[in-house]
Amino acid sequence: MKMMLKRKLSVALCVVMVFSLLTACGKETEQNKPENPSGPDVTEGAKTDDVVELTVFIDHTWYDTDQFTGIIPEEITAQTGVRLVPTKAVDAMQLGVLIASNDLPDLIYTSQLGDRLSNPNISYAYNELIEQYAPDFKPSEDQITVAKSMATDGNYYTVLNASSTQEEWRNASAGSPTLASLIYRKDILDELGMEMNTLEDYKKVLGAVKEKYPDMIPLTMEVTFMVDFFKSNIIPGWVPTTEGMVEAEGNKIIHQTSVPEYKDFLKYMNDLYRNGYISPDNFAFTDGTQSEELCTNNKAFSMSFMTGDRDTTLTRDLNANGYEGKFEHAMPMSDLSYVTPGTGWAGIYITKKNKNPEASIKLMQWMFSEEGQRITQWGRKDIEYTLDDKGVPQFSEEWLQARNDGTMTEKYNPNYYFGISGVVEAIGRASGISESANAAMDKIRSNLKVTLVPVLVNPKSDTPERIKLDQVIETVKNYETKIYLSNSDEEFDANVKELYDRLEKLDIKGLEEYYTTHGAEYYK
Amino acid sequence: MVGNQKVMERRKNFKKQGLLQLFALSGMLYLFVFAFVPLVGIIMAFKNYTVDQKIIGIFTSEWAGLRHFKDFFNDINFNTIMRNTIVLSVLKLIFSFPMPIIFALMLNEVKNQPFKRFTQTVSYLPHFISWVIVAGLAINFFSTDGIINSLLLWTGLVDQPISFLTSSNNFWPMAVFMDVWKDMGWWTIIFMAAITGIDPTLYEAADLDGAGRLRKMWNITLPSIKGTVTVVLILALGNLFGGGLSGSNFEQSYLLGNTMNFEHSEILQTHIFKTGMVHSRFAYATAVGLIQSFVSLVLIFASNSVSKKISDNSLF
Repeated sequence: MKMMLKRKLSVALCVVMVFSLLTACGKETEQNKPENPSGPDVTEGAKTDDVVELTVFIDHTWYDTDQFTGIIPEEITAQTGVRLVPTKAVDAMQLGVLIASNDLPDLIYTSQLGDRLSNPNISYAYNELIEQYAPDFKPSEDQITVAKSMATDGNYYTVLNASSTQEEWRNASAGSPTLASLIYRKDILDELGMEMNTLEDYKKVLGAVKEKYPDMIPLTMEVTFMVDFFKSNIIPGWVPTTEGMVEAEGNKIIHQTSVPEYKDFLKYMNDLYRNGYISPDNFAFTDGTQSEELCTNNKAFSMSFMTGDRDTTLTRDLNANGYEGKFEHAMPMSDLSYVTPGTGWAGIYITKKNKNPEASIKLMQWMFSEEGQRITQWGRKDIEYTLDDKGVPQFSEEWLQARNDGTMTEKYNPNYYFGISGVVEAIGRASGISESANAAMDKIRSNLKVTLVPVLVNPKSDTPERIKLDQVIETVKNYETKIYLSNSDEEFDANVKELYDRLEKLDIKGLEEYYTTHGAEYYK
Repeated sequence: MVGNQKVMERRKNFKKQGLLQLFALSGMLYLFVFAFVPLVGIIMAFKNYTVDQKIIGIFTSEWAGLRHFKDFFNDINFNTIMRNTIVLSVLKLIFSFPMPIIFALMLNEVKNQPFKRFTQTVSYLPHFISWVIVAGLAINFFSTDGIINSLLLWTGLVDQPISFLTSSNNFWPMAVFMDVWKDMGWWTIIFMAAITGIDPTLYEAADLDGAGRLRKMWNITLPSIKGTVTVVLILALGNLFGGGLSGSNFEQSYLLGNTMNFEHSEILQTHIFKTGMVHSRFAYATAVGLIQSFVSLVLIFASNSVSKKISDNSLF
């Protein structure tokens, strides 16, 4: 009897093992299905109470939300009849695998692999869907040019958000693009009685901080923005893109390392290291919280980061940890123009697996409309905000409270900025934040340069130029750190020479020629 | 008639072993699905495949000949990548392979059983910690303001913190050290098991002949576990570029590699990962992966045949 039971159990175990093996081979496994399925209609593509549910893959691991809940998502559904079912990427490589396996959701929101997604095998062309379902949806000329530059068949398969023209920025009443900014301890600077108007002033301040507060790291660099603040203030025309191509005189497009001031930047960073103002450990940081924790635990004087309201939250957390002090944004430390690519940032791709292309393109039309942009970013008019005379939203107490106590995503969830313009986003973010943050953004905006061409002519994936460019990017990333951390002038010079020798081997001049030649078509 | 009888007998045997056969079948099915079917993808290494061609594109894309292989050999980092892969792998083989044997021999000499069991348990526990956790621990312990540096500074052994993780020169020693720490105990179990199987009368005879501990180790224990050592060595050589016994090259280089130690941490597998998964150059990454697999195959066959000739011990 006991033997029989044992035998039956063993057979059952075997069957379960074989079954689970076979299910693992299935094309659509459970874990491949979108998160938060709210009913059978999600997979069947039907409507639930006239609400269309669309799955969206958000290709940003850092994204603030993976839920479509909160006041703003509910308002989006009320206005558009669409409910989104988001899945957030677990790593930066997931999208490539999804494309290769053709395991695509209805929508993809991404800032990468644009040229792979701009392909009729994978996505619907926006121009065709617009013609068929949403003839009133009229993206700007620039937006269309940018999107077309990613495709090879003359169609465009997305419209990138966060783009604004030079003129729109000039006319903006507040805010700036998300660019590099420096946050520092105002109370300590006051105590030292020093000025911090130029990068040389800043270096002196760091020296004084190191002397007076030896346990404090004078500068910590947040992993995403790292040295951007210094590049922006030292290298003329530097564009904050991975590719590192900049516009030079005579409509030439050159690599950042070809700008003469690039070496000044390297020298400046090396000085910071050799004086002990930055820690080598900083280059092994893997996420931004490591720098923030140094700030909020009274262990760092300043942090290179981005424009926005982080000074306020850092002060809040510093005080909550029992330390007195105040963080503020520093002003730009040179007269150089900050440059931003006007191409936009990320876009929604409507995949060929999409179960309702009509609802999808109409959703995007709404997202790019003025009403859509304001609701997704600012909430409901006269409830979450009212507009002042300059057109700047003045937010309700509840909104500001949620922003300060960290419940913004949970309560309002203004993270679905699929169609916002750079200016609308910036104005919303500038409202109700610290004076220093606004002053820094005003200064950046007043001297802002918007550039399009270097990004438009980025070589497409799998081309020899792209392969070469990826190697250049990797080389520069590695060698920059090596150069910053040189321990002597001789080592510094040798490392700089090594970088330039390697770039020469990679035919950087040929790459610049490619950019300049292809860019000429757009400069016409 | 005799043939029929044989078939009948086989069937009868098979029926009797039904349950066991089912277990074996599930293992074979697993191997077939996850180890053999994906081999079809190797074709990508010789094709102009791009991810937007989807899975069918693996077969329908145009042939590229040996282009991807040439691209790799002409890559500006080719020499660095190959040097790092070979040196790191060989260092691990030199240090990680004999350590479990030495440790097993030492443990075998411990007569205090509770202490022996305790030591064995403590030494193999790190094997169960994932490399992600180990890397996190390493960062906490070995960063310039970590526990080890604080201790070294406090004791006055150093004036300046040592850049264990942020100096290129320290990457290989750190990788080997962590590899030994994590997996030595685990492989010791294998050798301990082999030692346990040695006929105790051999030791008794040696005692009568007046042999000391070292002599017994050298003349009895080591020759008796020679077969196990050979098999483990062949397996380690087969996975040489993967990191030998622990197969930890990728995890270590990926998790502890950074822009400061890239000159020593960039290896074949991280290169494959970056080009394949980050830049979606699947075809190129497959070609580079194929080179690694080919070298591993050669190593495993060569070591097996050498071992067969020299010691009569082999894996197959």
